[in-house]
Amino acid sequence: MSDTTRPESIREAARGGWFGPTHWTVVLAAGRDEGPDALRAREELCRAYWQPVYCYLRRCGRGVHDAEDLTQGFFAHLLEQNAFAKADPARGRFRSFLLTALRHYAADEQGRARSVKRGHGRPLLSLDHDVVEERFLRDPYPNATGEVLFDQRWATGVLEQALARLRADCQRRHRLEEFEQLKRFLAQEGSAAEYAAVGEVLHRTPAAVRMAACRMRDDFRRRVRAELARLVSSPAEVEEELRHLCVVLTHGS
Amino acid sequence: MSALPRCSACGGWLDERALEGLCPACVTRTTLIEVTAAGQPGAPRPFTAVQPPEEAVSRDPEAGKFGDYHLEVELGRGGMGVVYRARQASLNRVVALKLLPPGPFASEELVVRFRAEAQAAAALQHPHIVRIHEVGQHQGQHYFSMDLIQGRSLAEVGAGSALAPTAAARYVRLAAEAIHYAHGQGVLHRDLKPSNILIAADDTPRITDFGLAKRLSAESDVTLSGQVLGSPGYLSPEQAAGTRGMVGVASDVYGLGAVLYHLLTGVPPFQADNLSELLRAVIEEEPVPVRTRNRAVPRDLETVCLTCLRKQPATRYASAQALAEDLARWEAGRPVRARPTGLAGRLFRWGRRQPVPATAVVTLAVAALPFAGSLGLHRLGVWRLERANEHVYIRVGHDLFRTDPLGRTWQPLPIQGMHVDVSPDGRRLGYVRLGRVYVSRLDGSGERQVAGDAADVRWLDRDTVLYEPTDLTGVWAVDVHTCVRRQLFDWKAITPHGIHGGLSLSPDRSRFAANPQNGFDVPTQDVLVCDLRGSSVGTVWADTPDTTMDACPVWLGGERVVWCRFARPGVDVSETAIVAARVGDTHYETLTEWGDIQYPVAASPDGSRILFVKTFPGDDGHLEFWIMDADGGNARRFLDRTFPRGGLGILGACWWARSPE
Ligand SMILES: [Zn+2]
Repeated sequence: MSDTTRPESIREAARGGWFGPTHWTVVLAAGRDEGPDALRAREELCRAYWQPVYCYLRRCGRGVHDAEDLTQGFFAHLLEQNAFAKADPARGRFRSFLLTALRHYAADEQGRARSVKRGHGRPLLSLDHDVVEERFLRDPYPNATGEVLFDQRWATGVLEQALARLRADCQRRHRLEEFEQLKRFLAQEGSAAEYAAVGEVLHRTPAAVRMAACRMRDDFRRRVRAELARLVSSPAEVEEELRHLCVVLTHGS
Repeated sequence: MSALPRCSACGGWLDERALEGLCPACVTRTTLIEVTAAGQPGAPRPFTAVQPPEEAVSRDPEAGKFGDYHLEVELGRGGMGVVYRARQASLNRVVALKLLPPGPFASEELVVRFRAEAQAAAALQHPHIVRIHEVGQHQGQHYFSMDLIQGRSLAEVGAGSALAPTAAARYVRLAAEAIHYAHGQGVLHRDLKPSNILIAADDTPRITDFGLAKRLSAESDVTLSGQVLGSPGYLSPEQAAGTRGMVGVASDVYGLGAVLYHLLTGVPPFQADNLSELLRAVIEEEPVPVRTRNRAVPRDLETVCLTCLRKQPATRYASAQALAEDLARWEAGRPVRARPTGLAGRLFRWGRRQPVPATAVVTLAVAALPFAGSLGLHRLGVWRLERANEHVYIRVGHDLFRTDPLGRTWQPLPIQGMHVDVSPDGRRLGYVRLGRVYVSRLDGSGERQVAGDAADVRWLDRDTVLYEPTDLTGVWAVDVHTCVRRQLFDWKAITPHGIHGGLSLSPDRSRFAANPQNGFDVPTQDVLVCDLRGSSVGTVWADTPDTTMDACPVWLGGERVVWCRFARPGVDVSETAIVAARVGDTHYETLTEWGDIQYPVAASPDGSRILFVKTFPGDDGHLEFWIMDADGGNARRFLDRTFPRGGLGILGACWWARSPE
């Protein structure tokens, strides 16, 4: 094998972090509960899932403060029970596992109202509830179930995280202007006139802009997969989750 | 009820605050499902540049009130601020209050550095140093208060006419003692000149503006504008050259000598019609001997003065104290230790008349003068060669600029381009604009298009440029006279996504180094080394797979390539460093600290030195240009500039080329 053509899978693994030493399954299963890697892995999981959890709880009729408390309480509960480590790949997708756990938790909590007292203990994460609450109130599908809302928030969150990482990398490399100009082509293939107009700004030919937009879509796709890979418990889940994400986001619009 | 707008393409609800305003459904359909969305394309969103908020300098509406101070009379005004006589209300004392212009303090980091320096200066307690009382900030404006000296500065005392040699020697001796004390406290003045030395009522000097003004101007983009630089006629050559690594005690010794020169002759050591000519003279020319201007100056005092003004820092007095002692000897009628211009000076002058063989001079001088600052002399020799025919081309946004490795000139080129390369015969430029390859003369005249749809361009020989079309069909060669082109090879055989940031030809132009990319602008960690038929002849790559390269690798001498590495291995923060590796190695060496050093990297034409650019978080427009040796030693900043486009990535790339100019 030539030195320059290492298997694509190795590159992908390196890029997406599957099975890497910092992947959450590895970190949490190793039982180094208070290590910085474990904290970061938990934080990453919580950050990705707290908005869906919060929206689910709100849609299930919880008030703003209740939903806030229960969100914190749910993640605290998961960590206490070391539930993340129990998310066995053989038992299905992590997202489904989480939703099931949430349903049980919310039902249990119903009986012993406000067992998670406000101000009791340090909140797990400082969460910007206001922004999410505003989004929740503006949600255009008031009749969708909590489960549907959970999935929508999760899917949009994955895209947003991928886009944020793409933006950050472009900024690092002084390509922010290219990012700003090209990102609209993630949402739709441009017309010849649009590529030409962007080319004027970026000092490139329309053909080069079209090519750059195409590469950006490739890259974004790769980053979405990488985001999903961060949140699942095995590589096999990624394609499945990607399919589900596409269904969730294109359904009903 | 929802107040959301609808996506103009698919008609779905659109939360403009989610996903940067993009429609998630459309993104999913277009990018993830890879089916082109049908329907009307949305109107392009207007692009808005991010402008840093201008912090207005405001003072209390009550006239003359500035915090704890009441401003009474304006005493002076210059590029570095305004000085007032002010009464400090809480202590009921009269002080001099200097208000600094808000401009240079764009970044927090600069403010921190300024304050650290100001605090050090404020700690100085010496009878001949103006005491700084307070360093502070009021309503966003930085200021410091200091002793109010009733008296004139040496600029006024010595205006236009020479002082008596004994008076001049005494003032400078007392100033030198004070400067020596400051050096012992770790504080450099950096900007000694007659206007910074005040004469108090007891007829002794008080030195002011320690380090502050100079530090400020060094950090601001207007260093070379002349206005802020103030009085470059008193500046040491190492400061004029912008080689800040060499600025030290000897630079202040030079400044004291320059003040003495002015007091003895009535004029600064160097004068010129314009700034660049003045800086050139400071670096290259010997000052007119003191006695040529004023026969009344004794020969020994002239020797003392010219010893301070030597070009090589190491051949001046070793300390300000040594200068003070020699002046004391002269005042006492005893012989001085300084000797008239010696071997080093003669060598320097000889080298100046014959710039090209200066390397030989340098070698000789280093061998002949082991105790006379061989490093300084060597460095000066290197500067001379660099200046003779080397240029640095820098792209900022779409604009091209030409400077030199001393950073003394800054010349916008009348062309725009994404890449620029100088032909091997040094007579033409090749560059890419709007995706097309052009060639022109060095000054940008005679521009001709030689190819279309190109990502980058490099000269292969005096008649041929290589370019890389954006359609990933590999590398093509085009004859710049006939525009006949041929494909050398196809990227598909080597790296399916093409390369990132262009290719770099080996010094013998038989091979190139490039960084394969992995999708849209996604560099990999690899360096690819190929011959011009596209056959891989060697690879360098890093031993840690989770980081990437940040710029095109650049070929140095000795089978080494250098590049900027993005993300420190094992650390989850964005840091970069310049690294180098030998072709075929799987390990790299790190040449700089990990930090905010960023691409681009350029190599000197002889491969012995590396140019790189530092940027600062939160201050996108501020760039520092550094040069170091190929092994990472002798790093020195030669230029810094601030560009008015905060928030946007503005730095493009830079190239270092030699030309017959
Ligand atoms: Zn849409």
